[in-house]
Amino acid sequence: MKSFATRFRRQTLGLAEREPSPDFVQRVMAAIGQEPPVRKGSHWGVALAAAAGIAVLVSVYLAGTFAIGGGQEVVQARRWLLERQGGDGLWHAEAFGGDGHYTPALTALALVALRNEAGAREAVAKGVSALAASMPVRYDAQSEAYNLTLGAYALAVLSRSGGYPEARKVLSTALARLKGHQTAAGGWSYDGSDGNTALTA
Amino acid sequence: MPPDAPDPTLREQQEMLAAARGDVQAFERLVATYQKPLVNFFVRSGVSSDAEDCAQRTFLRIWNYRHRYRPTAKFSTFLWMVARQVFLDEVRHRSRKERLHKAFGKEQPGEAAPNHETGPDVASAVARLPKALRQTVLMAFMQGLKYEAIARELDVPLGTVKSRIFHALRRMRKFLEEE
Repeated sequence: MKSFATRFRRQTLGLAEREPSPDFVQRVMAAIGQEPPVRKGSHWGVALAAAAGIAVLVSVYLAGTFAIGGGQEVVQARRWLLERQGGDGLWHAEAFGGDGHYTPALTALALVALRNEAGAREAVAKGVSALAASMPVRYDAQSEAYNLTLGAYALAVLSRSGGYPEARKVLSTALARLKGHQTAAGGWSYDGSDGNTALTA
Repeated sequence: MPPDAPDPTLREQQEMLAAARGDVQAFERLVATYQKPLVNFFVRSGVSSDAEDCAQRTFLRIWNYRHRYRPTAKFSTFLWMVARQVFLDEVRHRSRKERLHKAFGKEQPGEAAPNHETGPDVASAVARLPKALRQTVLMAFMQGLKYEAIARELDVPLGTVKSRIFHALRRMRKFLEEE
C-alpha cells in the first residue's frame, strides 16, 4: 500500500511543473470569441429548440405518412439494430461504447426506428416493456432528464396506435413529471436555464 | 498583505462577476492567473496528452456558464469544480473511444496517445472512485493542496481527509490490479 501511495505521489505531485505555452491566454480568448453567444434571458436556446423540434416533428410526420423503409440501407440498418437488442429488451449504451446511464434513451430511439418494421413486432413489444420498466422516476441528473424526455417521446409515438397499455400508463406519469419541469421560457433544460435543444425537441 | 491591497478572493469574485456582465478583459485576467495551476492539474491527472486542451476547455466552459456564477464561494472553488468535471468527461470520452477501438479492432488515425507520464489506467482508476474520494484525491494530488487546506475547503475534519485518501488509494490499487 505504501509503495503504491509513494509511486502515485511521484507520478502526480512529483512531476516537474509545466509552463503553459506563451500564447495560451491568447488562444483561450480567441476561442471564446468563436463560441456562440449564450445570453441570460435571451431566446437563443428556445429558438434553436423550436427549430430542432420542428425538424423532429417533420421527420416523424414523413416517416408515418410515406412509410419510409423500402431502401436497402434502411433495411440493413434496422436489422443491425435488431441484432443488438439485449436479452432484457433494452439497447445497452455500454455495448456501443457509451455511458450505461443512457440505456433507456438509446432504447427509446431504437424503438422509434423499428416501430414500423413488420418482422420486429416481438422485439418492439419486449423493448417497450423494458423501456417502461426502466423509465426514471426523477428529473435530477442529466441522464434522468434525457432518459425521461426521450423515453416519453418514444412511448408517445408507440402508444399512438392504441397498443401497449403499459406504455400508456408510464407515459402519463412521465408527461406529468415533464410538465412540472418546463422552464419559464417554455423549454426543458438540465439545470433550470431557458431550454436545451435535445430535451425540448 | 499590505492594507491597501485588495483581497485576491474578493478581487477574483469581482472579476468573475464582471466577466458575467461581458467584461472580456476581466475574464482574461482570471485566465492569466489560473492558466499554470490548471494546466498542471491536467498534466498530473494523466488524462490527456494535451493538458492545455483540457485547460482551455475548462475556461471555455466557465465562460459559457458565467451567468450561473454566484459569489457565494471563491472563484477558485468554481474553477476547480469545472476542472474536475472536464477531467471526468475526458476519461469517459477516452474510455468510450477505447471500447470502440476494441469492438471494431482498428486504430483511429490521428488519435492522441494517452499521457504515459501518469498513465491512462491511473486516470481511469481515479474516475472510478466515489465522488467524495475522487474529489479529495484530485485536490491532494492534482491540485497539490495540503490536507489542511482540503479540510477547510470541504468543511470536513482533517482526519476525514486522511481517511478518504487512504481508502481512495486502496481502491485505486485494487482497480489497477484487477485490470
